[in-house]
Amino acid sequence: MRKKIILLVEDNPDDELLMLDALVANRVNNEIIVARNGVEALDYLFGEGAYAGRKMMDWPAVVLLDLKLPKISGLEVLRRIRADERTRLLPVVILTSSDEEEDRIKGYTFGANSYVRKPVDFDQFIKAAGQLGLYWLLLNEPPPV
Amino acid sequence: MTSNLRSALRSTLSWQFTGRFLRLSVPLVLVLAVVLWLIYRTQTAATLIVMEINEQQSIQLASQTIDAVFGVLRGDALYLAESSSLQQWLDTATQAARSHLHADFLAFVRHRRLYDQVRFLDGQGQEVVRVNWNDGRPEVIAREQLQTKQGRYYVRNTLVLNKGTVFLSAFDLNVENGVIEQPIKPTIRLSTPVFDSEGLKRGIVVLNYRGQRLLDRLRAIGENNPGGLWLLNEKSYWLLGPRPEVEWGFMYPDRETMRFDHEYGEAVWLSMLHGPQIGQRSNEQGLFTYRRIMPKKPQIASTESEDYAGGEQWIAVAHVPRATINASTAGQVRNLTIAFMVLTPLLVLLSGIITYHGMRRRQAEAKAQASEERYRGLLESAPDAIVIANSKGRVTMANAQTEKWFGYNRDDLIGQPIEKLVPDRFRAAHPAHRQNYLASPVVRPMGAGLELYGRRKDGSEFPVEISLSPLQTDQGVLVTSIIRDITARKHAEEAQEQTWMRYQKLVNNLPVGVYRNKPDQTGRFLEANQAMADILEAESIEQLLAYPFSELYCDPADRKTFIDTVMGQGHVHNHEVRLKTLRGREFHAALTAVMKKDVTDEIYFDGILEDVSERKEAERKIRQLNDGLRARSVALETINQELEAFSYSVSHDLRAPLRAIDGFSRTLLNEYTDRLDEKGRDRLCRVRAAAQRMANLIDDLLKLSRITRAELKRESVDLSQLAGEVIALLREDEPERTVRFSIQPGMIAHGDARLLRVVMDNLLGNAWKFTNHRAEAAIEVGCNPDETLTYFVRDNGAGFDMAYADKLFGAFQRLHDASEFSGTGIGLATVQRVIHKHGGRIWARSAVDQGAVFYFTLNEQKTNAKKDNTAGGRQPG
Repeated sequence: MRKKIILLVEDNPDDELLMLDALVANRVNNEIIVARNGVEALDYLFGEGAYAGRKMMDWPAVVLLDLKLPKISGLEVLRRIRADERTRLLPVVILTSSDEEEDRIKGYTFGANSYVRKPVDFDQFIKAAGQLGLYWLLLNEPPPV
Repeated sequence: MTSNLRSALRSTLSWQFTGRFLRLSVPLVLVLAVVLWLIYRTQTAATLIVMEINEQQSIQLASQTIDAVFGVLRGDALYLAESSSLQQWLDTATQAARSHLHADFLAFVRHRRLYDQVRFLDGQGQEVVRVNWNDGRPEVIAREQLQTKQGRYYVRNTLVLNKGTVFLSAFDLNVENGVIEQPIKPTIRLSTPVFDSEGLKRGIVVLNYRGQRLLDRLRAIGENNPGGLWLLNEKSYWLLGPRPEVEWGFMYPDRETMRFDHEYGEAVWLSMLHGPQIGQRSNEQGLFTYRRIMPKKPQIASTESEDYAGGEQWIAVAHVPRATINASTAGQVRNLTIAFMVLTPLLVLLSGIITYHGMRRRQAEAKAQASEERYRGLLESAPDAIVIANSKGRVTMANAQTEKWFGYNRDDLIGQPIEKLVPDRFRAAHPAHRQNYLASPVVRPMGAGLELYGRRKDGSEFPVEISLSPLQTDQGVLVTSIIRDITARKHAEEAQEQTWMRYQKLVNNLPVGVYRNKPDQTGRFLEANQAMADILEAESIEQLLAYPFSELYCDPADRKTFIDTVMGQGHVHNHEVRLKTLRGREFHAALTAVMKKDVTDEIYFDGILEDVSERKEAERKIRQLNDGLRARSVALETINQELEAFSYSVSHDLRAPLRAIDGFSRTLLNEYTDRLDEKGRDRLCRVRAAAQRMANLIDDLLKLSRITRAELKRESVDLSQLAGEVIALLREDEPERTVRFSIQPGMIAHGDARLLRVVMDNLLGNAWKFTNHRAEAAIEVGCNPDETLTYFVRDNGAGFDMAYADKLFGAFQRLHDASEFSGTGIGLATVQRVIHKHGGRIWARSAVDQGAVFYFTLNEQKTNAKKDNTAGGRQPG
């Protein structure tokens, strides 16, 4: 079985590091692609820009998407993912600091599969990362390609 | 005449005419019909009577004929029985006597011509002598051809008879050897006993009478009758009938039903058979005149006890068929119908003429009467008094209104001088006026400028108007005076004058200027009230009226606009212009005006003028204030937007560093723990705790700001249920604690469900938290049933000092040490904000270690809560 890829879209290097730490702490050793803004995330997904010529067979098992991103916002990234025939069914988990109602409503409206708020308490953060990994990488059956 | 009548009919075709016409013509036609009917009846009856008499005569004749025939037959029979030749033969029985007898019988048959057979039979019924008629060649039948008739009914019946009695057989047809002889031979057999000189019965003589002769005679009698004459036997069979084939029915087996009673009804038959001997019967088949006929002895008196034996009863009938009767009356009906058809139009025409002339006369009368009544009615019902005077000034006529107004009876005025109605002060001069008028009599209409008065009978006067009109008649000039009492009008005029004065006063007292002017060059005022003069600072109304309005506009263009507007739409409302007073002071005026046209179609304006300078000033100030408000509102909006952006940013950006602080501190503690001493680890733990507290603070602050921004959506909320849910969650968090909860059931509040959940979360969370140290913790949620719905949450926890009650609901205000009770100090601030958002109040009562009660209201619509402005926190529970 091929290792499943996780696409982490995160602009804050601290948060990126914490997320990687948390995944390591949970012994999740899948390949993790980090996109530091929306454009990069979309380039990776559609094999454009820096990722031109990427093997398009390797779809990530899950996209962990921050909302507050430079250039293109997380919600816009989500919208484009859902608008494209190839990625329309891709599992996307919104992973953000905000618990604004508006953000939650928009996130789900645009077709997010989950909405997870990043806890400040790192112990809880680790727990959340572990559960995410457990669920999306082991339990969840990905949509047919 | 007819065409006149037609045109008259056409021109006056009305119900009235039709009615009168019908009332005249219909009875006439009916009378005619009745008369003709009576004539018909009489004529028919007469015809019938003639017919009846005719029939009766025929029957009478027939009866007499039959009687005569029978008389002859009887005489012949008796003659032969006693004839000398027969007697001689009986006495001697010689050949000579026989020859003599033969000769005698032969002579008798030949010359009598009545009989078909004459015989002598002895006592045993053996024919002794027989002479046959033999169609006019009589012959004596030879002895060897003689037959014995012993046992025949006529032999038997005759042998028992006394001398002088004749036996008659039935009238039937002769039968030879069992066959009816053809041609038929109607026959009656007569027989009588023969006695010899010693008185011994020796035999019988039998005569066969040829009945055809009798029948022919009867038929001849009946020839004059319309239906002929019939002869019937007792069994109702025809001996002589309407047609030969129905006669002698009893002789032929196939003619048994050919009987009178079959043909013409049993009723008629029975009444003829059993009724009076002579009579007439009538039914739908006609008239039957009959007579029953019996053979009887002749009128000459006879000594013999019996004249006839046997024989039968006949009925002679004369029949007139119904068709014949009807035919005889049909002619009369036709004649009378023709008479009816000729006479009816004549009668109708006559009626029409009479009606037409009658109508003409009546109409003329009615018209004359109506015209007179109308004339009289007009006079009487006229609303004016009408008096007609002749050329001498004498009253010849006065109407009802004259009586009413002047108080005179009509009779008191007729013939009196007209001056009787003139007031005393004008009376003397009046005849002269009258003469002047008569000199040139013209129609003078009412109200020709003179103030006139009438004089009542009681001497009082009243104002009048009089019109005069002359009328030339053959009795000279008649002057008709029409007099109108104008008292009421005078009163009305005065009332109008007063009303007018009242309105003028009203207009003059108005605080706004009221004016009328023309939109011409100068716009000079036609009317203006006092206020107008005051506003325009004129010394008097007169001064204002003399001043051109056009001069008072600050900007002449304003005046043009105003006039154009009024002319264009007919009116204008509160049109603002700048005017100056007669003294030159400028001010703001509002003009309201309507365009009108006078009788000569000239345009003028009626308007109101108001000095609106003060109002303008006030409006300017309001506008300034509004502008300020608008600016502030824009500023507030900006601030709000900034705040929103701020809180959004806070929720994202402020938490990220905290996560880094906490996360990396933990990494240090976990992975570098061996390089840190106890103090270092303690400090790192404090860093983590501080970061997490700050995260909580940020969350609570965001919650507070969200509540501030949230829109209130009121609905029915089950507070009891809400409290129950919150308590269930609290118990879940700390299942080891025992707290006694009491929730008043059925508390339905009217508020925002989500926000009330925040209230309950905080109040119950606090109660839970502050009863932490109590062994027997008790928390109560309820509602005071006074007029203001006041909810409360009561606990028996740590409580607080009421001295700090005013700090209770401030953000970040804490009354307890963090070491004792955790918290951010934002919870109650959030609760207060929710309650205030509902328009309600929240306050608390407590004492240290005595527990605390938090009260709140929600300003619910259904309660008529009194607004209590006392500062929160010290309200009695």
